[in-house]
Amino acid sequence: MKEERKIAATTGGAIGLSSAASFVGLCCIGPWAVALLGVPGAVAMARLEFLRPYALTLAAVMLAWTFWRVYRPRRICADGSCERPPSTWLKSALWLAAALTLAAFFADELLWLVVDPTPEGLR
Amino acid sequence: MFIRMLAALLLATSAATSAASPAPYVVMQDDLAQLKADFNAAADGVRLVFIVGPSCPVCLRGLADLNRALLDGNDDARLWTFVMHVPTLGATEKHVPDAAALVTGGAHVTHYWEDSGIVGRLYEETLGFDGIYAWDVWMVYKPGVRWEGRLPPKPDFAMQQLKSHPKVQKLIPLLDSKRFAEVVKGDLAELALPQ
Repeated sequence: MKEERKIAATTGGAIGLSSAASFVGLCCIGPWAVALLGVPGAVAMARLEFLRPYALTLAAVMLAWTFWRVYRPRRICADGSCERPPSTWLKSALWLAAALTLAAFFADELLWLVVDPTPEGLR
Repeated sequence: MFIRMLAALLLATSAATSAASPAPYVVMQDDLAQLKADFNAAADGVRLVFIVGPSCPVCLRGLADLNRALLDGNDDARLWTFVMHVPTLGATEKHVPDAAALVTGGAHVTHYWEDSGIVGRLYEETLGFDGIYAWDVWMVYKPGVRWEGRLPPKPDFAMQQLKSHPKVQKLIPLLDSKRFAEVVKGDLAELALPQ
């Protein structure tokens, strides 16, 4: 149970980090950052862009550790005394975190594939 | 916990960016006649032309950085700054006053808004961006350069923040506000002091 909690916390941390990195990376998708945070807040958010690679690297390391803990080979005990493998929901959360982190790595590139900054009247 | 740290960082860094009162700006027609006239009228000085999206955080960061590195506290009358706000990424005229308020210095600073954003299309040709709309671009003109034809003249120095376009990266460097300020100060040093 303790092990499961540790895995869940690390997975949650990786989700948090990759979400924050995506949040900063997707700041230019529309005027939402200025609407939400005001001009000083939007500028501050853009200034945090340099933290993105560090956040994503940390998230990747956390995920690597979690994947190892979840999928490492376990001893099979005939008497049932060995720890049980992590639950399905935890494995699903882990894969979701992996997908989020992968998407966050490429958020900047993906953004400009779908968003055209050219003013509407000139397209 | 990370979200809390991020929020604290946001608060701390936004406190460093002054929230001045909204600034005035000029609304132009798509012939850009006002910008052309102002640009040519200042031909004796060093001119800066910035093209920014007033709702784009990265552009706004560039504007704030250049204000800090070059314009704030700089009352050199030989320096003219023209900031063109363009309707990229959903920006509208209502975003201009707050964005313009980021520029707190400089002897002659004028902010412009024009509905179509044609200036970016014209600079796309001037700068050879070849199909990439020119915005988040920061340019310097030495004295004597005039805007006579349809297209704006080629700047003497330019920087950009269009990181996702490798083609643009090859043409002009990424914005470095300190280096930009050094170039402008160098150009000003070449000019005679005003009488």
